Amino acid sequence: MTGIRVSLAGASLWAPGVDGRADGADLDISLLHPRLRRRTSFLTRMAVAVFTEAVAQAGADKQALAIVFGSVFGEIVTTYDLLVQLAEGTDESLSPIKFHNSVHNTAPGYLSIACQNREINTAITAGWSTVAMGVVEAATLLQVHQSLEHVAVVVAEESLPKQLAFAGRYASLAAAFVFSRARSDGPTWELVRRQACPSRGEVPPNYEHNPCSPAITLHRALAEGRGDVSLERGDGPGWMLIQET
Amino acid sequence: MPPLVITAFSLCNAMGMDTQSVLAALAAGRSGLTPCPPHLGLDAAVGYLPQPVPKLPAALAERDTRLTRILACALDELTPELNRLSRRYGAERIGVVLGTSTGGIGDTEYAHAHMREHGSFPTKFSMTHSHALDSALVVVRQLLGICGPSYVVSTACSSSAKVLATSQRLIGAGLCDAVLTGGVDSLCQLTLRGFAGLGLLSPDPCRPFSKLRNGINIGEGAALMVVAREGDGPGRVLSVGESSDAYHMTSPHPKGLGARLAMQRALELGGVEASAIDHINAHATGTRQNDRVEGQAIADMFGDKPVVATKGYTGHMLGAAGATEVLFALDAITRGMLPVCVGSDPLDPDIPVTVPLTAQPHSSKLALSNSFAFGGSNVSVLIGGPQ
Repeated sequence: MTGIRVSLAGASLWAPGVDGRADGADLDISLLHPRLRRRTSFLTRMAVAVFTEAVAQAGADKQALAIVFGSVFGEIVTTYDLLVQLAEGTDESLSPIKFHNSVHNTAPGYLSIACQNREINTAITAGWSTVAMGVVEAATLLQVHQSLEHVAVVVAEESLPKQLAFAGRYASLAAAFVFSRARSDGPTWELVRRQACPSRGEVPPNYEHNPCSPAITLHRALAEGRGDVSLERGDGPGWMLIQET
Repeated sequence: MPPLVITAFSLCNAMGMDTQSVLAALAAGRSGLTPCPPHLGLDAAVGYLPQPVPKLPAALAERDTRLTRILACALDELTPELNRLSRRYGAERIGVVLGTSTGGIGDTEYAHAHMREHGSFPTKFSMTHSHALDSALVVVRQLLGICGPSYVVSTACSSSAKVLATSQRLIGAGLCDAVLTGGVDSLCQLTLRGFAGLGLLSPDPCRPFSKLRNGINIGEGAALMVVAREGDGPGRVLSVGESSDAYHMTSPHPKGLGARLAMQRALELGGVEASAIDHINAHATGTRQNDRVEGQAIADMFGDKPVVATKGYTGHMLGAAGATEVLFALDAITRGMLPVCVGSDPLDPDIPVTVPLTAQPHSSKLALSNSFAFGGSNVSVLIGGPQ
């Protein structure tokens, strides 16, 4: 047991075909200035959309919350465009906008600008444990920074460009979870590390190889406000949220 | 939050392949910058490692990239300390939080060029094992058996300063007793040509705070630290201030608002006044705008306290810069000497900071080290010597 307890204030999942989200569903990116909308990747737009929905649901102050962004391959589509530019060798320089939009913290950077948020934001990755480590980062932020009321964990993973997807393909998804310290007026969870983390709930086949797919089961469990939930893939050792009674 | 004890550290960059040679070069005022090697094909000065980096052991062949080789090189010096802490606390109580901006992209560039020429990627290349940023975590786990919370922080040029905030939280919240932290990056085409595209790359060795400054040089290497909740060691991380500019993806806020906020938060979290800071290690990349904005913010907050700029030694090591410069600031505290700021002479008279143009004795007990990044990510680390 870690003794770190959290409540969920808001959640959003964008994974077409899952939990009622229609295939081809639009992304609400009205948070971004129109000039910035054109500059951002699909990955960042997914992140903005789930952030917007989860923060609204939480009633959180978007200027004052901390943002933890998680992804494994990050801005891989933009990065691939740069690889093509490099290979074509037409110029010594790369597109400056694509270059700065290729960094892993692109999405939280745009979110901070859009929300005029000067709080802590970070961008992490941990392979298949990215969702788990995102929750760990959020829980520790709430534990040690008492001035923070909310922390938004935003995970997003875009389909790999087909040239890079030689090991398998998966559909794009994004999710956001807005956590607060444990509250007495709703369900609470304790963050724990276990030697065995039994996964519950199926992930649709087209998302199975998406390394952020643990967000799908996490979203279901938290949104329904019941049950213990593994933050990892598979049943091995890892991190869980255990619901308190 | 309680301070972190830095129980051990290691450095590997253009100045040398190990800690001793890097710190000897810093003390001697010897820059590691050289012309860009031919295979990278750019007219630029860079901070390229001075010797070949050994391959990873055969068991890790599929994760053998330039980045993981540099990591393993720096890790070698810390293995005895990490083994000692694993025995003391248990491997699951030791975390790993590494900063990187490039990951294995250098190898992806090569693999992609191979694919275009031959129609397929090299058999050894894998997106998860070669390209992904988190491959470095697996290498650490396999080499050392550490199995506490492990993740990569990738916030561009602030990555390996931000990892110290994350490490302090993991220990402060009770999830870890010690953390292997720091950063690693390798030179590659994408970052070199990306900064060229932004018009920020200097063909000559960079000149932070100089009126002749003309842009940055990119460097590579690693800076690793073992930080723990208790114990003995050469220094302490007292606090880490983090902020966002919320202004622009690449340009700093014109009044340095985010930079000031990060420094202010470091002071508040560390419980010290600005007057207690003995010197500041500036981010100071050598670009016109960044140096001016940062210099003014430092001068407003700290008056004429000495300001050190070290990118003239290493180039901008991007994801490894923050940790490298925290350790350079600690070295100044340890030796009671500020290093000469290579390339800064003649200083820009419009930047009102006091920059040492020769190595000079200076009794420092507390120092701040700044790191700023794309996305408006700002970090300021408060460092002290042993208690």
